[in-house]
Amino acid sequence: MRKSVWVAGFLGAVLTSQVARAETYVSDQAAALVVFPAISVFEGGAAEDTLIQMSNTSNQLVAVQCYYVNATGTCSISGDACQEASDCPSAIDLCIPQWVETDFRLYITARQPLAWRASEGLQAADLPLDGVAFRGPTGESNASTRVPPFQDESGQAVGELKCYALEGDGTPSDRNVLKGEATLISPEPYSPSKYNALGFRAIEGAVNDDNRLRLGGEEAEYDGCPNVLILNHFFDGAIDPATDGPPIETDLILVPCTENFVNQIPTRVTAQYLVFNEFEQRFSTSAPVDCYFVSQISNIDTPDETRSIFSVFVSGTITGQTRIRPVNSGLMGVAFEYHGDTAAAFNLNVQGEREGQSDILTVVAQ
Amino acid sequence: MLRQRGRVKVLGLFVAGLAFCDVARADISTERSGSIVVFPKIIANSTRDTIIQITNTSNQMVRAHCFYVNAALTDPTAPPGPLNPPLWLEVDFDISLTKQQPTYWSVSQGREVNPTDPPCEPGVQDCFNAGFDPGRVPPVVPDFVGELKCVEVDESNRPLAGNHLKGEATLVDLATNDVSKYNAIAVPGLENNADDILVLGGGQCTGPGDRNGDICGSDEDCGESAPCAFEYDACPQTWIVNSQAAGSPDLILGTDSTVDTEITIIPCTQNYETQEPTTVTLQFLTWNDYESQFSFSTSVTCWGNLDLANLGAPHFTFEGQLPDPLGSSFLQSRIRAAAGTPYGVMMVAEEFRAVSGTPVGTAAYNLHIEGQRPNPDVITIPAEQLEP
Repeated sequence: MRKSVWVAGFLGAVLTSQVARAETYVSDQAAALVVFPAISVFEGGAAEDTLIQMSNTSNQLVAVQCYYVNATGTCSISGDACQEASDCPSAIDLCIPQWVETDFRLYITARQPLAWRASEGLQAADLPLDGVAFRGPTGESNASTRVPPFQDESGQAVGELKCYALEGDGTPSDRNVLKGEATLISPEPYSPSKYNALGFRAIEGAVNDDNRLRLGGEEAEYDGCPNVLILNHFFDGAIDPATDGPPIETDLILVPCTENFVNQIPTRVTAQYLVFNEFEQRFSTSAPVDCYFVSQISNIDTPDETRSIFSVFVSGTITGQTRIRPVNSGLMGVAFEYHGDTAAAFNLNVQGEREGQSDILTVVAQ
Repeated sequence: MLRQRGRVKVLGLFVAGLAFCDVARADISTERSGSIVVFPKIIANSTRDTIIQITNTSNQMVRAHCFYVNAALTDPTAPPGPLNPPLWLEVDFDISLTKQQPTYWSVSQGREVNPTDPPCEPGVQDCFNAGFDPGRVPPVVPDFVGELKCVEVDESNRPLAGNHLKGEATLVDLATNDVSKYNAIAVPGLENNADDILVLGGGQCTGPGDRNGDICGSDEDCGESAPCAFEYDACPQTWIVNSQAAGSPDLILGTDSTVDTEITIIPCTQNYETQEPTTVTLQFLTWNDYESQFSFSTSVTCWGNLDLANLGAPHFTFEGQLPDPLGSSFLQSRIRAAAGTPYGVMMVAEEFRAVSGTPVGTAAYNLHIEGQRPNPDVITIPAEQLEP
């Protein structure tokens, strides 16, 4: 009897561990929470814009709560939009970062692919199944869906989009039915760069009805953020080996996994970088991530990109592997590789879980 | 002692159960290291070349045995047909990577072993191949289209479940420098009996008895030759492709623009010993954003590059969608292997944009997956290739 209890307890522990166990986010499976780390609009969409695609992979309508975060800064004197101080017209201008959150709700019918242009959003007239003239085969529609334009008065916005599935009563859902892609299109020659949204799969039965979405760790509701992000890259300034063409540069975008949309308190994370070249030589640096991080990799450790450990002239080889380990909070990201005027986006690799550590996404109670 | 043995048995069951749970949970991945990395779309012809990046993500030396499969037509200038079949030629080579080492090569040029390659430094930008050479990587023949697959092996060249490899492929337009990039598909290894049969979504019986070495999906398949040692994770049951209808305008580039999509598909089962190409019948279920549903079916042998505009299925095209008041530009397709062809597939997609008929750029992307195939897929490697 005692042995049976022992075995039952053991199996119970196994089952419990399976339920509570979270993995890290994925970019190739549907999930309950999807994150687009790089959304960009310049000059109202004329100079750069982002096509956002989001789909429901299930046979039932899903309600989705979304948050845009505009991380575009403002010049302290001129008031111009900026990403860094050098974007401002005056040498004594500072680029004051902002963190403006806008939320909206979508209703995506069964198996429906939805898409919109970030600079324009999705208005009632744009909805495929508006609920008046058109409805799906089972009567479902996109009625009540509104997506605001993602740009400020300067016509500019750079930031992220986070969306999570809802139950009918507006509380978070554990339905892993959302997938997404973002395509950034630069000005002429209109080079498109496409990446998959990062998906945090909900653990079945673990998602509660509060406004704190727990990613990974103890009592996880969703997959967690990884212990290490791995970026395979060409060192900045390397010549394209296929074409002998223009030097290659890489931009890295990082977003903290912990965010508080209620108090609007930006999260600061320290990113530790370990860089390996093709001689197995190792370099390291670290830099903070305040709410949102976008940088050419050779500007991560120095403003002088020719002296950076990410420069081909410092590293000595064409390609490198950079391992990014977050401290204090998790990080997620994507990268953009530029070959002259043309670009390609790609998802970073991940490794390991943040042992016992959760990230909390605090959303506005609906 | 009996109590101890009882506990050991229960503990064994527990561990086996836990392992089984883990096996059931794992999937192939485009963002995690694996023991097999697959690049489904490799092009090296007069207009495009491909740069391969492969990295060892571990702190130990890693080796890999790699295969190019050339699926170009016998006469690339002529249309395909019975008199102009694809070549399906396989070429293999080995690479070695020191701890955490990244490496690269362009497919058209390969990579030579030359320790005197000068490192990059100010004034020396022509520093191709600087670094530890991974080994001799052969250049492909002209007009190459096909795939690259690398299998992690141990010091004696036997397959190994190390999960230390990751990779990316960058397709480069030689005239415009336009680039298109995707992550290699990584197949995690579980345990490996180090033979020339690689089983994805299954394993081989490792216990003594008549069925030792047989391909199995569970311990029950092995009988007295249990256990069934799972070698690699399974190929997905369903692939999900979000695409635009072929020829539909890009929302950003305007009504004068078009977007076309290609899906490149390879079977998970491949026999490099007999060189017999695998044929898979694929079932497509497609929805547009009005929730209208369409279905389609086609076959892929060895390697296929499906242009949605030329499949003969109007619902994949903007022209075909337009006559329907519920026609639209955006599609979600779910693709699976038909029950009659019990092989899984792997795939990537690439979008081609044009403005006023002039190509302006491409974007490759990895696809989403759902579920795991219940049947194992098998990659067969000629045994002598795995000898030291």
